[in-house]
Amino acid sequence: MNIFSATTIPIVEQAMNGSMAEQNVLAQNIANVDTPNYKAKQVAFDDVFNNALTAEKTNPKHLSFSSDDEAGYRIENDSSGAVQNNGNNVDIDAQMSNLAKNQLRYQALEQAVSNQFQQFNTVLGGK
Amino acid sequence: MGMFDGLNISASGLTAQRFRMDVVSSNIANSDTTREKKVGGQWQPYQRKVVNLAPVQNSFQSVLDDSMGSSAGGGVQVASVTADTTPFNEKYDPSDPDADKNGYVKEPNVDPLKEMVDLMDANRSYEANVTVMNANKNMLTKALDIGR
Repeated sequence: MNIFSATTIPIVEQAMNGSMAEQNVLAQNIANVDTPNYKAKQVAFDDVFNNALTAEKTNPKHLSFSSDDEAGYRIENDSSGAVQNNGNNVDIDAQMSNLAKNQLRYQALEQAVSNQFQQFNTVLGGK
Repeated sequence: MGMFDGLNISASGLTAQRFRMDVVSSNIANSDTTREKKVGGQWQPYQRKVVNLAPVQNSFQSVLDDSMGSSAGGGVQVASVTADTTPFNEKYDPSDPDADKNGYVKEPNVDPLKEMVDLMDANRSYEANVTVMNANKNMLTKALDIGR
């Protein structure tokens, strides 16, 4: 229990991490736009069902079922793009528009966190 | 996962695309080169070079992270540069010192049209990587503004 846990800051922080992960995935897809047989990736965010499926770890070295146990997202193959002659299925237009969307989302989340901190400032009387 | 992973991935893309452009330059510059190497005492013309790209996956950790779905990947790398084995063009010119006994000169299998298309392709991909890099930079700058 800390001073921030009653606010939306931890949740927004997780969302920002996810958004940064998506940015890295987009960078990887676009860097590999000419790589033969490369398959595009995408970030899938958690749903309730996946949250229920957690690995029971009896030893700290046990692996999770997937990374989303901790991170709240996982990276999986994206099969939405058409496979080209060289076996690559990166849809560059979709990637670029996702890039724009993701950037705006990240900015919105940043605003949300900043507003929270401003409220703290007001409450604590520090200006 | 590091803070600059995204930038590193885009940087690997920039390196790979610039390398492709270098190879296109080499191909076009050597489109008339008839003496690349000697095979059996006979000069062989320049063979067109092709760049093969592959995703970076060089450690067990990166493969594990990949299949666990916890890593975006490490970017792209130039896997190899191979020679295009399509047959050489032949030109009838008995006065050429490299002509064979029938008077034919073997010329490089470089097709300027293919090279220009490759060049445009590499150029556009380079620009896409620059765009991603700038977007990533903006996000990192935004993150630094938290709490200002």
